[in-house]
Amino acid sequence: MIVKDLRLATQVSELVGRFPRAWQDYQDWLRDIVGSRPVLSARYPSWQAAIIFRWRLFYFVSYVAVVVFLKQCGKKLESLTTIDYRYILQRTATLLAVAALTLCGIAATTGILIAFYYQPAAMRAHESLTAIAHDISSGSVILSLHHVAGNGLIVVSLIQLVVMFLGREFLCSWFTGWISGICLTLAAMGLSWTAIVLSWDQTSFWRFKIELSIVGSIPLIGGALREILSGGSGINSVTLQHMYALHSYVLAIAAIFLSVLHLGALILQEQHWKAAQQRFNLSKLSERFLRKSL
Amino acid sequence: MNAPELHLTPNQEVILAALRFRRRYGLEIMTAVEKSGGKQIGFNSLYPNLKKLEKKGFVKAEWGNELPEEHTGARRKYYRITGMGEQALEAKHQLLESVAHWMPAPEGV
Repeated sequence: MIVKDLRLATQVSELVGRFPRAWQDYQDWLRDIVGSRPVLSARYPSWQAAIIFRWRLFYFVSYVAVVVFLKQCGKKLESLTTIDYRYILQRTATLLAVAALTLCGIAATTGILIAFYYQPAAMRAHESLTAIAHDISSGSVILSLHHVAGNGLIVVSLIQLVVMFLGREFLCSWFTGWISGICLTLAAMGLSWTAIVLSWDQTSFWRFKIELSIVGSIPLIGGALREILSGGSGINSVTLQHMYALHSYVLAIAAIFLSVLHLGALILQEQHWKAAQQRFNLSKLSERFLRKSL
Repeated sequence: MNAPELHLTPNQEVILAALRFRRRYGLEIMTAVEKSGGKQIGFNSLYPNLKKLEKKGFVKAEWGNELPEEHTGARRKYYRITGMGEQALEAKHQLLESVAHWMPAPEGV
């Protein structure tokens, strides 16, 4: 029995020996467990002594295993919190900026395709959209792509604001990215708002009427703003043309410009993570170009 | 009075007391406590407690001169109390003293 127990103890020591730090800390425990084995045999019947001995060995192994496990977890967590977590946020922000630019591109392309057939006039708008959806080849795909890209842009830019807030760093490039991100979010919302009346059906008409009256209730400037937006007191062809111009010229161009600026700022921001010689450097690049051309 | 960094659990107090006058190894501490009639400290709590005391700076461990154990290759470690450990013990004794001498403030005077 004792020989068997000692063999077990040898196996335990080999197991714990694989973790040098834990072995350094706790080997005297194992030594005393083995050292007290003769005392156990003298005091208890052999079967009881074996049970006590094995229980001590088992507890020793479990305790050391938990200590090793917790230490490993702590180390992982520490490495996550120091550098990786901010780096992950930085990469996520850049990826989201790429996604926003892609969505802008999709919305712009499909928007231009829609503009080939869309007619911004009160009696023609709804008809032309129906025609695009039904008569033009892959018209419904283009329309729904335009919707998905527009809504997706709002979602992505809102998530981006949260990500950038968590990974905030008070550098010029971050600040540019942050401000352009906020403006991009506002532009995306503005695009979706000006698109309400463009489909010219019952829901959009009445919704726009309510929202115009909300705009009108802003103190001091409300009335004037409402007239500027709707091009008069009622909602008619002029309103539609105003919204169309805002949607497809002012806000769309602003959104594309902002998303390019946003991505550019974040790419510049990423340079801080790179080693000095790997960073993007305009003068170095032009120097190399000049050397090549000469 | 009893600062939180000098806090001792009952087991830790007994272990520190066992180390007061000489360095001892784990099994020796256990035997000392048992032979003095105290409540026996099991293997399962002695070594974790020693590690905690070492981390707090109350004891210092050093390798013994004995040869490694033949089956496992494990070496013996001796524990020695440090100045801070003595302070902790002292604080505990003072606490017991002041608890014994505490008097309620006279009422209705």
